Amino acid sequence: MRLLPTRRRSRDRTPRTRRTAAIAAVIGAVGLAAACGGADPAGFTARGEPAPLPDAQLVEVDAEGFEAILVGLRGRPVLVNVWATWCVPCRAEAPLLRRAAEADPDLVVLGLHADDDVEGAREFLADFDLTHPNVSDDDGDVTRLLGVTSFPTTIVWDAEGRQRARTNGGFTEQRLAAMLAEVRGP
Amino acid sequence: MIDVGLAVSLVVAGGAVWGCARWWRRSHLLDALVSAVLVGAVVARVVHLAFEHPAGLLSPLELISLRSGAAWWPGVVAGVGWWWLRSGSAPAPARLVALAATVPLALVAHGTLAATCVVRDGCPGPSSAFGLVPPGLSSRVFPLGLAAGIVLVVLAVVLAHWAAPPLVPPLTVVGLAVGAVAVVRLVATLVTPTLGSRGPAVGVELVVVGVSIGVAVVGSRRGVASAA
Repeated sequence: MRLLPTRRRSRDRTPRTRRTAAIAAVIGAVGLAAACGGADPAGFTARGEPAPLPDAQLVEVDAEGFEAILVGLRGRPVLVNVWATWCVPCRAEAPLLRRAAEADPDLVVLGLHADDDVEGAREFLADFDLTHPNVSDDDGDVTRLLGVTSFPTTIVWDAEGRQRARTNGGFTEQRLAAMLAEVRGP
Repeated sequence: MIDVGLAVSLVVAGGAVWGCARWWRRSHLLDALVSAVLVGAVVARVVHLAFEHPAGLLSPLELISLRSGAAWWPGVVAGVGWWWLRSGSAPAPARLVALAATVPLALVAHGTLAATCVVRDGCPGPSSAFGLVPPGLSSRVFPLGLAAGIVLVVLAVVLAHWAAPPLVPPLTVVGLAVGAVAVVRLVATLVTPTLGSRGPAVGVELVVVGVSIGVAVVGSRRGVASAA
C-alpha cells in the first residue's frame, strides 16, 4: 500500500475527467430530483364488513378477506409487510419487524406472504422467530389490490384506517421508525 | 431489484472522495482508504448480525444487506486496524501522519453517504415545520442525514486545510474527527424516531466522545512535547 504522495501529473484534468465528473453530477441530480418528488401516502383504504384476524399463521386470504381483516383492526395502527422467502431484503428486515412488534404492543404488525410456497414461509417465520400474525396471498389478489410492484412493500395505516406511510422496497431502521412515527408520534 | 438510491449514493460519495483526494493531493491514500472501508463494512455487518440474527451469517446475501443494520463503531475500529496493519513497515509516527491525512477523506465519504440519504430513504428525521416530506410518508421532517453530511464535509475541509499536521498533531486530528462523528451520531440518536430504547446507543456514543476527547488531548500534549 502506497502512503507517500507522488508528483501530480499534468494529465490530471483531461476532457475525460471532466466528462466523468459531469456524468456523476447528472446522476446525482436526477437521483435527488427523484427522491424529492413528493409523497403519495393517500393510497388504499379498506372497506366492507370487519372480520377478525385468523387464529393460525399463513391462512390464505383473498382481497375481500384481507380488506375485512383491515377493517376489523380499526382502532389500532396497522403495519402490513408484503414478503416472500426468496426476497433478500425481506430476510434482512425481518429482525426489524420483530423489534417493532415487540416495542409497541398497540401496533398490529401483519405479514402478507405472497408469490411463494407456504412451507418455505413457515420455515422463514421459525428461522426469524416471528410471532406476529401472517396471512398468505396465494393467488396474488391482495398484492394487486394494494398495488404491490416490488418485494418487500410495507404500508402503515393509522387507527382510523387511513394510509399514512408506504415503502416500496427494503427499509432501514430509521425509515421504519419514521413510518411508525406517522401513527404514534416520535 | 437494483437499489438505485444506493447506487446513486455510492457514485456521489465515490466521486466526492476522489475529487477531494485530487484537490488535497492525497490520491495516493485512496487504495488504503477503500480497503479499510470495505473491511470495516464487512465487520460492521457481521457484528450486527451476530447480535440480531446469527443464522444470517451463513447467507452471503444477508451479509451484504448493509442497509438493514451495521455495528458502526466495531466497523470503524476494524477499518482503522486493517489500515494500520496494511500500511507497511513505516515507523508509527509516519503512519499516524498518513492516518491523519486520510481522516478528511474518510469524513467526506461518511458525510456524502449520510447526505445522500435523500435518494435512499428520504432522510427520515424529527418532525419539523421545515424540511422534506420523504416519499411515502405524510409528515414534513428535518433531513437530519443531509445536515449531518454537510457538517462532516465542512469538518473534513477544515481538517484538510487548517488543522492538518504539522499545525495540529496527527493524533489530535484523529481524535477530533472521531469525536465529531460521535457527537453527530449522538444528536441523531437523540432526535430521530427509533424502534426501541435509545439508552444503549446513547451510552456508546457518549463513551466514544469521551475516548476521542482523551485521544485528542493526549495527541496535543505529545505534539507540544515533541515541538519543545
